[in-house]
Amino acid sequence: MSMNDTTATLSRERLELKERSWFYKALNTALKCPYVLIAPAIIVALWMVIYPIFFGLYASFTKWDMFTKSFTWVGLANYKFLLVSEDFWKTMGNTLLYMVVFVLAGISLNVLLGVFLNKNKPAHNLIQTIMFTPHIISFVSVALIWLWLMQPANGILNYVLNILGLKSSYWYRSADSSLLSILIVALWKGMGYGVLVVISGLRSIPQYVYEAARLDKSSKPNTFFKITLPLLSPTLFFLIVTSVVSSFCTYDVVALMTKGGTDNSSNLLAYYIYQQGFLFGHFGRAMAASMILLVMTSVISFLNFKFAGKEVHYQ
Amino acid sequence: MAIILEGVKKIYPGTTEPVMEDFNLTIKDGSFTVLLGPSGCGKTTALRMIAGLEEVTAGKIYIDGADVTTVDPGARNIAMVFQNYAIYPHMTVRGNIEFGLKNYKITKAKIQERVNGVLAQTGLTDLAGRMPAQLSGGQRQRVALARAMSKSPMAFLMDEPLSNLDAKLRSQMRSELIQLFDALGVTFIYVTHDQTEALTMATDIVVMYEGRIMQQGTPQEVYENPANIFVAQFIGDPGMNVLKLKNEAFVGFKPRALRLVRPANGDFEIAGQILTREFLGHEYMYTIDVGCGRIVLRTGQMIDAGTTHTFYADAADLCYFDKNQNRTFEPQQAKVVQVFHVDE
Amino acid sequence: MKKESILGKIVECVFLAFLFLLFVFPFYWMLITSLKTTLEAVQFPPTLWPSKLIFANYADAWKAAGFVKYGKNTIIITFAAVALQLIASVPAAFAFARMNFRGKKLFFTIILSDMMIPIQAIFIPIFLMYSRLGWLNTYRSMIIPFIYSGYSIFFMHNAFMQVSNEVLEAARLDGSSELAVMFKVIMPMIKPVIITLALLCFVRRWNDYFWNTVLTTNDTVRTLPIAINAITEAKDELLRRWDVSMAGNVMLMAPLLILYTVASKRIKSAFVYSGIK
Repeated sequence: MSMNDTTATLSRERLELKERSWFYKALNTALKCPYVLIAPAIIVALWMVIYPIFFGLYASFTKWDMFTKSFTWVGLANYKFLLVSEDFWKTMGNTLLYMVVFVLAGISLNVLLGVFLNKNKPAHNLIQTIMFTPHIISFVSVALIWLWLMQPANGILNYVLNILGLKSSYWYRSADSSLLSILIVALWKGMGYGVLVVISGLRSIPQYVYEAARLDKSSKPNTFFKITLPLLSPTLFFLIVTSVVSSFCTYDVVALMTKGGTDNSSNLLAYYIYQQGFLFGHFGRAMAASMILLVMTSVISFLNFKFAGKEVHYQ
Repeated sequence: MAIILEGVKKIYPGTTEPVMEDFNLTIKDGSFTVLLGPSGCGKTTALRMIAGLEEVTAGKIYIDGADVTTVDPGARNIAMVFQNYAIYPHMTVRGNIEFGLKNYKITKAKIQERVNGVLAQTGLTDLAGRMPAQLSGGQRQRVALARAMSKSPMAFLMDEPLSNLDAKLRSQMRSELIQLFDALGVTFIYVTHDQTEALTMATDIVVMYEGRIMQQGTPQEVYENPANIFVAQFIGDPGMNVLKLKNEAFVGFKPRALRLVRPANGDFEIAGQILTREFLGHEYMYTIDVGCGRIVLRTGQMIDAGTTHTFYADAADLCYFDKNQNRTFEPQQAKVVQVFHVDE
Repeated sequence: MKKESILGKIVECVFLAFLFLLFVFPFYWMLITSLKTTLEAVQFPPTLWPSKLIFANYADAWKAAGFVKYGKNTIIITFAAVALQLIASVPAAFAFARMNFRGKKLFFTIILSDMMIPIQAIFIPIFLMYSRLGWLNTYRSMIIPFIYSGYSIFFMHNAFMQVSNEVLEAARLDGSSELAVMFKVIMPMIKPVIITLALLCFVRRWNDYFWNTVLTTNDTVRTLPIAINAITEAKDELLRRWDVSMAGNVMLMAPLLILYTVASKRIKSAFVYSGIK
């Protein structure tokens, strides 16, 4: 190909930039200033995230009076209250138990189903897509469906249990099973997401690693434990961190299904904060509990920043 | 319409060392000026300052007599072709050319006229509706050129525009750029580290090193009469052999200047052993150990590796440099101390 | 060897069927219940298909939930949040990706703060703040916090980093203003990312339960999820009309299910990549 020698006449006329209105010019000048560009986001971030932390820290040392709308300094009283409160410790115990089960059960199922569904066959892909549906709908929808499925008197789950020769359960109504019930619902809702994350992690493992393993005559379980899992560890680490944080912050499923349950049997920290603040009017105690939640999640975030990209990444 | 950089200083934000200081350059109107130098020599910085993409820390830039030091890039009446072409990936070929024109005081009809004109001239008429992703590297290059041409700029700035093309296409584009330069008759400023591009296309070469101009002249001047050791060794394939003399001065000669037979007015000789022989097709390149370093010889003659010879050079082929490494026309007679390389 | 693979196939099919049932049946049961009479809905043993299809439950749910009012609230809050979030995030992400300025690191840390600080830990101060400002039960209290999203800015920032600087410079040399560079060059180039983030924001706002319950004290600006939930929650366990509740639930999730059917790939990747940095 060469430059066309057509006799097309090229204009030699000089060009001048269009005149712009003063408004356009002003806006344009403003856009060249980075501080103008970041201002809206920064202002809202400072106002809605950073300021509330410090306000909350302060409020956790005070007692809030509903009528005068004023704070009275009470020192460590709110924290002391929590330390000796049986309900608080029960809630903390529930939260930790919930976290452990949610993370362990959730992630093992995610890996199991992820490996199983990562076949790129129509049926497998369909299940994957369906499984993700609960993640994109409101927790209200999920909770309503499961409240009905688990309904102690007329729910179909009990019917199935009966058919299988098992006793009916009171599910979310009973102190024995309410924590388990909300765990089932939360796991069900989040399963599709975790599986998808695992699958995308699996797909980022280069194929040649498996080819090398095959040449080394590695058995299937050996390949899984010695190759897939280690190479998947960044993904798993990410899932663990997000699951731990989200289980510490679990509110929706408790509020929607059990409201803490009989005798706080399924009360979790985030709902406890809500109860203390809005149901009992103890904003100071609620804030003290919030600060504890903040410390718990910050530790996880800190560990995440410290270790992500080091031990767990291979590439 | 000359472009003048006057006392320009540039310090990149966040650094303290200036990349250039008190930099003065005059680019002649209608010249094809190539800024040539190794990477980091400041040639791209100079070009970007002319374009207005980089602010000058101090000094002035004039285009066509007007001080444009603080003028926006779009108002400088110049066009630029980038190394990676920088065509808008989300617009068609036609859209790429139109996009810029719409920012100027020009009627829609005139825009179409210009777009069709440059499309025809660059042979892109049939590809006008294509998206950049559907084009080959050479075609993208052409779109970038067409876009630059459509603005009928006073000067074309090009930043290594051929470096992403394969060798064959590159040599083809070189001759097309020469044709384009002849046809348009406007100033071209071209940045490259490739001396072949510089020697083949330029009317003026500006050799730069570490933010300074080492020599400005026609390709012939730069090639035949290097102003200093840097230019002598930078230009040529390979550059001059330079030997340091006992009196701190230097003598240099091109690899082709060496011969095995003493010429009539040969007043230079050096003995050495052939270390390696490389066959280049039309001739051979030899590396010779002369005891105080290695020099290079290019000749059509076949010599065996490992043999020792005395090599001669014609007086007319010798270039002398003073102790500041600048060219001197006084012949230097002194003992050779060692082979010298400018980057050591 | 062959026998084993056939057995493996059977196990695989059974497992697939089980998963299908596990994730489809709850939805099926919701839909079927919504089409039953109140009596048939609570009948024991349950029927897998209604003896008579009843659509009146939908009308009941529509009325009971106050669909028009809460639907309007949901739409206003959701769309305003999506629009404002994009309007604030694009320039901010551009500045962080393509400009150098004093304090950039500090500002970026502030921007990332909402990815580390759970709203559950700071909603009480925000509530008190709203209460003092007189912002409780206003649209602005539901919209303004979502102008800022660390996620949005972070992912757009990453997308902007991929855009070659040369293209932006070419546009400036073409006489484009910064405004044109942003809207005509940069934004079209990262369109997929913008659509993804808009989708994410839309789904999250539409579904929101927490923010809308804890930061409101009455129904003025509450949204559909709360209204639908109220149909069930308002009544005592034994008096609940599950047929109506489920009908409401179907209507609540219908827009999302339609969206998901149309753009399942995009939505899946939006959620997955929003998590993985």
